[in-house]
Amino acid sequence: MTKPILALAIVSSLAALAGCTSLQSVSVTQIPSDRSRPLRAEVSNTAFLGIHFTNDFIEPLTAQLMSQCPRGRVTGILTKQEASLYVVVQTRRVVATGYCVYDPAPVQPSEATAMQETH
Amino acid sequence: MRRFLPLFLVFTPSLVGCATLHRAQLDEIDGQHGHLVPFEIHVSETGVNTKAVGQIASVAMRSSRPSQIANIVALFQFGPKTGNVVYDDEFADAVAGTILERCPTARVTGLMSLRESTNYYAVSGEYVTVRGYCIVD
Amino acid sequence: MRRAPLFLIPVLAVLACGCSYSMHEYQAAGYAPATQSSGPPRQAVWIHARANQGVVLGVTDNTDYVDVAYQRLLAQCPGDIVAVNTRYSTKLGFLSYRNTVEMQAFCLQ
Repeated sequence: MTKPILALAIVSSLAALAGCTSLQSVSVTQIPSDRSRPLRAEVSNTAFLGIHFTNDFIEPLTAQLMSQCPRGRVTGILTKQEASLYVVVQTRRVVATGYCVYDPAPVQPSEATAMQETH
Repeated sequence: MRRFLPLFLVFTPSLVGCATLHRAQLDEIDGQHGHLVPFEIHVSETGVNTKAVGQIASVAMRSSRPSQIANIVALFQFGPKTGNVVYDDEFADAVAGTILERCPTARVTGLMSLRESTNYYAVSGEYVTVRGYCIVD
Repeated sequence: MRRAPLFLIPVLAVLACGCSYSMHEYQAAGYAPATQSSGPPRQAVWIHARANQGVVLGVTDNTDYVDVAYQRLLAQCPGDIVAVNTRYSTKLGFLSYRNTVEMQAFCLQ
């Protein structure tokens, strides 16, 4: 009788260590053809019994993406919001991946008179 | 008649339904390139609350057997749930094509995607609503 | 054992056949082109990608199926991908379930 109980305890422990991760939300934006500069940013927040007192953990996410793409445009953003439960501790995680694109500079007018008229 | 009044007051709201917004997402809004004409696409599927069905059947038949059967059936519906269980998860797949029917030029902006439910205790309406604007010159 | 009402037996069979789903989210977004917003119209082709994750007893440690679906979508189109419609749903089963992310989009060529 003790062997099945022991086996069940071991399986339950392994399951608890693996945790229970679920996807809360996913979103995708338009994706550029130039995918040579991939970006990734992640923020997370862990709380005992899943009792969170603030959602401020999300705030650095945009800045992290922007810092990887100075003076560029971040697009093709895949955003995943996950929740993981490890027995009595819950972790919330938001992962954003995307691509940094530098748009070509606008073409300057060829006629010099167009510029002079503004003065 | 008076003794039925409390029951009436308790169950009347369920006839109207209890609305829930599960998810809301908003895409970029670009009003720089023309006049914006709004559109809305609304698709739905009937959801079923198995345990509530069992409870109603138990009350109607004055037997606990339907509730027990419903609890067994619930084991076959294990997993994360948003709203009630539906029997077709592809009911919203037509939205992509419908957006282009509403805006044949494919110039669309301001898309708001909603996942909603209206709950009538044992059954529910599971909705996907997409609102947006066609950009018209 | 008391006789169960006969009409419940086919109902039980239908409900237990594993054809129940939960629809979590649907998003339509990204209809503006990522690049080349001006110029002549470009040919658009529908592309579609799907990825699943089977989970038993709710034990899993990742949501990588989302990234798999995303990469499968990217692999089908070397150009701009717009009009991305994303569906996230779960097929429910006996003490197990299968998560699905499905993406439909236009590939601009």
